[in-house]
Amino acid sequence: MPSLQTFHFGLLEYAEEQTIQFDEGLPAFERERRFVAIEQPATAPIIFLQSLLNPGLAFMTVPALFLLPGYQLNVAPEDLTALGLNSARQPQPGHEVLVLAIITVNADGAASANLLAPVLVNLDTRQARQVIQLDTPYACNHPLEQELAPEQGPCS
Amino acid sequence: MLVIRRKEGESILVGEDVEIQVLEITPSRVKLSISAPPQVLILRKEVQQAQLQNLAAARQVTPETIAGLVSRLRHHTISQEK
Repeated sequence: MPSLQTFHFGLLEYAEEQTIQFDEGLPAFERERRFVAIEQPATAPIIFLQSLLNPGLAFMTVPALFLLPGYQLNVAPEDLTALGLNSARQPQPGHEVLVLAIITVNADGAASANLLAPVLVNLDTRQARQVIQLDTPYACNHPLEQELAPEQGPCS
Repeated sequence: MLVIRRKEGESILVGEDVEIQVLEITPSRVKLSISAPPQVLILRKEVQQAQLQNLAAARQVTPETIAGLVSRLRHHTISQEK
């Protein structure tokens, strides 16, 4: 079994089925093509996307359906085609695709999830792509604190 | 800021070597054609927003932060089940 150096869990063995391939990298990380999805009992429901290229790079993500059970996709046909999916209709989250929202923790400890531009993983081929959705009600900084009102501030 | 009205087929020049032409107008969208030298970066603003968001998300976090986040997310499930 191959192993990799992870940022959060030291050296970890992983199965080939855990690797996902971003053919175009992610925005601002275009050279990062291969990640390993790591889900550990102690940190569930967080799914870590650990770069295979850079041990210092790990994104924390959470399934969009976990945050919002009624989450609906509105992905552009060209993004679906790039993922090897049927571009004539929206894929079903949790069945054909895994939909992961990348989590950001700010310096003040406030955390948010990017539901506007989720990472889609084709569950058949493990091809992945961060898709920027159009005409969607979701924010790129959906707050993870329930008691706080959703903020509509700038996305950075 | 400059605001200009343009019709289909009309263009705007920016500087000496950038041309933006309006190709098509529909009620919800406009189709633009942009001619610029290769060193000029052209980005949809949403892509820049995703880049900034990813750069912020890639900042390394401590195990304590992760633990706090995990308990917040698990609490989220419990409150949904109520």
